[in-house]
Amino acid sequence: MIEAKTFEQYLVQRKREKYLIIFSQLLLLFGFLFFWEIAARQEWIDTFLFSNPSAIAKIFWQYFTNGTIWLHIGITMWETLLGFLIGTTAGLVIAVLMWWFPLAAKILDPFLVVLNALPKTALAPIVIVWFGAGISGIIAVAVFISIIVTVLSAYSYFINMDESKIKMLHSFGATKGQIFYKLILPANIGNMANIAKINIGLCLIGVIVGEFLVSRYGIGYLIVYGSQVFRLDLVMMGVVILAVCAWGMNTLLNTLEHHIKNH
Amino acid sequence: MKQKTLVQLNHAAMMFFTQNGALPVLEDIHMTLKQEEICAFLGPSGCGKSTILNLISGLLKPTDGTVSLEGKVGYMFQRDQLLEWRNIYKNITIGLELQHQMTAERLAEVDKLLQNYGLWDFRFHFPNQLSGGMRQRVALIRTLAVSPDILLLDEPFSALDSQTRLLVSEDIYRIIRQEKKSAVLVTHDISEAISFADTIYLLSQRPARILHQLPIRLTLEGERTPLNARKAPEFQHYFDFIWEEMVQND
Repeated sequence: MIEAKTFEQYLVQRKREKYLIIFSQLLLLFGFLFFWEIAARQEWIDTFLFSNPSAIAKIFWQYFTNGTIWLHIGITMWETLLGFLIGTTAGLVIAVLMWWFPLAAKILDPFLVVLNALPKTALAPIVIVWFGAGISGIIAVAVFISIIVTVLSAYSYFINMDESKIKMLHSFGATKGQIFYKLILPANIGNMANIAKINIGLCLIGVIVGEFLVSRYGIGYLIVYGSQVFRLDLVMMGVVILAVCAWGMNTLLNTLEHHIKNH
Repeated sequence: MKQKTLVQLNHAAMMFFTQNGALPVLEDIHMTLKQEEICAFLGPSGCGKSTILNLISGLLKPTDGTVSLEGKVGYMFQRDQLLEWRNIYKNITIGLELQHQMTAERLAEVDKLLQNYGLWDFRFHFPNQLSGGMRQRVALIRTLAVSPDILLLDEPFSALDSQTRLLVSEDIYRIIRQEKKSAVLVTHDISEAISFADTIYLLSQRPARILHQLPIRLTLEGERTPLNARKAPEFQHYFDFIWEEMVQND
């Protein structure tokens, strides 16, 4: 790499690097798809087990033209969004209450630690029985998976606040509410954005697990249905759509975070 | 002229309770602070100096003896404790904000402070754009914005490098004198105490008692400032005396 001598050269260099990265990424993606397709056509791999890109594209087109794909995507996204909003909000509220009442936090601590260590998906069948075999049960699974992590990580961010900053506010006679609102909250905006990003992923896991168990719509349903009738093209399509959705939601959150930080 | 007494500690003692039992921190602390006076508590690290400030401000109640306070106190800490997401202006007004006193009158005073002490052009800057000395000045103005009568300075220079430290202590001394405030300084630095204070209370190891009360009288040409004070002929005498006492007590 040649060192830039002027600012213009530096900018050109950065731009070139950016293009190189995007080009390589596209090459990697399409190279993979191309090789997969070739391998399937030459019968190097069994299409019954691995499917192939053109079959996946074909079935996608079919779902796309009859419009059902939007129903499945919409349901999964809706469940994820609701699970995310409920789980994150409730988790943050509980974390604030624990910060406010330290004695309650000490009492709850061992229970939260155990709940956190427990694989929440193991409880999904019971949660669905409790909350109903439908959208409400699936959302409950998503909430259940995300809420404990939210409580624990938000609480630990809150209590690890620099004591001397709290003392500074106390020296001006700040109340507990003011300390939260003027110090703890603004100091942890970035941390809460990270919690939100982790939660989106967790809720998606919860929703897919829930759909595996009970649903008749949604991407999780497409995947589990496809594997039951050995339609691997359907399964693969579900996975690809899931990947695109996860990427889309992450991008949305990043944009939102950027927006909040600049204001 | 008889000056008003602002702070009086009367045989104050302080005991902390920990898992390992009772821990006496202060014993028989006796002091008075008059208007426009600066006094310093000088003692080894960890001897309980900051606890004295917490007693004066009322954050802690003494386990024995009494504390009386006339007027409002303002704290200044070792680190500036500026909030990185607030600009200089909003950092300075945080005290007023917390006390619900964001009136036009008070804000006009803040503007005056900003102008008088060279922070006006930086008021929309953020803390990370300022040098350590400048940040400490912002911290002082933040304290002055709520117009305290007594400043409690808790080792306010010890986090700064040695050169900045001299400049900032000069800076802060001038501001305190100009604003006609009283101050209680807590430090472990002998020269800093002599150059800053009118009276030094020399403290023992924990539990801290007052070993000596030293009025500092310096013959100076011109105005007394911390840097000037170091040039006074008596400076070395005070230093040697305090040094001897601290070594003997160790």
